Parts: sequence; structure tokens; C-alpha cells
Amino acid sequence: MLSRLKLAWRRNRMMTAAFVFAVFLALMFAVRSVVFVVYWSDPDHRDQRLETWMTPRYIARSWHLPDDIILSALGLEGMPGRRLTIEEIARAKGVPVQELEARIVAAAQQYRSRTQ
Amino acid sequence: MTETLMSLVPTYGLWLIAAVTFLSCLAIPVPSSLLMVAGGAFAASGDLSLAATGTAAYAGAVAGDQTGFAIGRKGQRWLEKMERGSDQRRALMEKARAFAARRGAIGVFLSRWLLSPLGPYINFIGGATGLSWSSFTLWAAAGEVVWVTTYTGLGYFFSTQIEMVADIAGNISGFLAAGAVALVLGRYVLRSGRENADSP
Repeated sequence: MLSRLKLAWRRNRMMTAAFVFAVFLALMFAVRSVVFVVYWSDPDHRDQRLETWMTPRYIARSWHLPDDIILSALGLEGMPGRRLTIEEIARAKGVPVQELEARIVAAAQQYRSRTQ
Repeated sequence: MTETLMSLVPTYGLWLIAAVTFLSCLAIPVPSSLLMVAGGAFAASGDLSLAATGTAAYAGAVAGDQTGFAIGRKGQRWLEKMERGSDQRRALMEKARAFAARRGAIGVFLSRWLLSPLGPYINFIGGATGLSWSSFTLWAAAGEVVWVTTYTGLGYFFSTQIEMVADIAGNISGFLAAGAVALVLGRYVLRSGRENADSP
């Protein structure tokens, strides 16, 4: 096998190099897949961190909370609250994103302590 | 960049998803699978419509495939000019054409979803090797159904863990594509490494 590879290398460098590179890539992706499966199978890693791209409904769904808990934490009761990201809401309200995130976390904790 | 693109999904939703699947069929490195997963997730939360998200992704992908194929067709003329210069090149192109005619359809189909990182190159190569347009269109359109359904479906059903889904799916698809290339090249290389193999 190795001697064949050596002979192939002498006869056709480009193809042999491409082959070795493809094998290397495949191995790298295999290792990364395993690493990610292990990483994500830890329940601590599963709760999604708040990100600025998230919408109120998305957060509600992601954290298993009713929509209006998040909407009222953001002062958006009665507003459609659709398709606006946390970042856009912060900009519209003129408050820092961190403040909105803190309000969401607080509302989520309060709701969970009430229902448990 | 991923973060910025993600924040555009709720705002520009369908247009963004269509644009990204279009570009990814032309070998432009945009995170199309992540955005399809995100589209599915926003559909699950009620921010986007699932049918519209799927349709937008599909329209972008099909248009991208056609564009890539057309670019390959343009390149065909250039290749023909190159061929006139050398017998060796002509022989290589003949081989490529024969392979495309024999295995092209299944290659196009599988490179839409199972080996999706190879898709854009197959578009160019398919056009350049004179693969029949109707067969290309049929198999590409069928394969994109699987691709779009898989990723938006993953996003919809795993909407609370889209990063996880995108990470794992991305790596598995990278593994399959690199593995398929390694198999094809390996067969060729090992054959040419045989002691009695003719021609250098």
C-alpha cells in the first residue's frame, strides 16, 4: 500500500497530493464531528446563550417560556413583537443591549421560580 | 460574519435565505446551511413562515445551479480551444465527458445534499463537460428538494439548538464530501501506483 503510494507519487504528484489532502480533510472533519457531538451532549452546553440576533419569540421558544413573558420584560406588550432582533429593539428604545438581556434573564428567573 | 448574517435573518428573512443558497451554489463561501437551519428555527418560533422559507431557499438553490451550469457551458468553448493544442488534453477531456455522461445524473443528485460541498463544482464541471441540460436540471431540482428540506427541517425541529445542529451537520457533510473525493482519487492513485501500470 505504502509502496504503491510512493510509486504513484513519483508518477503523478498532483493527484497523489490531492488524495493525501482529501484523506487529511476527511479525518479532520471526522474528529470535529466527534468533538461536537461530545460537546453538545453535555446538558450544560445546551441552553442557548442570548445573542443579539434573537427575536423575542425565538428566545421564548428557546428557553421554553410563554411569548408574553419576554415581550413584557422588553416593554413590548400588545406590540406585534415580530421579526425584531434584540439589537433592533435596543436601538429603537435607546437602551444598551445588555440592559435588555438582563431584563430577559430576570423575567425568565422570576417566571421559573413562580411556576416551579 | 455568521453573527451579522444571523441578525439579518429576521429582518430580510426570505430574500436573504434565497440569496445565500444562490451564492452557495456558485462556490461562494456563505453559511447557507446555518441560515437554512436558522430560517427553519424562526419558522418554528412563528417569525417566518415555514413554507415561504423553504420555497425561498429552494428558488435560490435552483437558480444558483442553473447559473453555475451556464457558467460551465461558457467555459466549454474555452476548453475546446485548449484541447486543440494537445492530444493529452483531448484524451483527458474525452474521459471526463464519458464519465459525465455515464455517472453525471447520480453525481448531480448526490452532490446537492449528501455531498453538498461538492455541488458548485459539479455545476461548473457539468456545464463544461456537456452534460445534458434537461438531465442536469431534473436531478439538480430533485436533489435540492432533499437539501432544503433536510436543513430547514432540522432547524424547525431542533429550533432551540440550532448552533448544535449547524455544527454537527456541517462537519458530517464536510466529512462525507472529503471522504468521497478521497475514495475517487484513491482509486485512481492506487491504480497508477501499480508496478505494471502503463503510462506515467
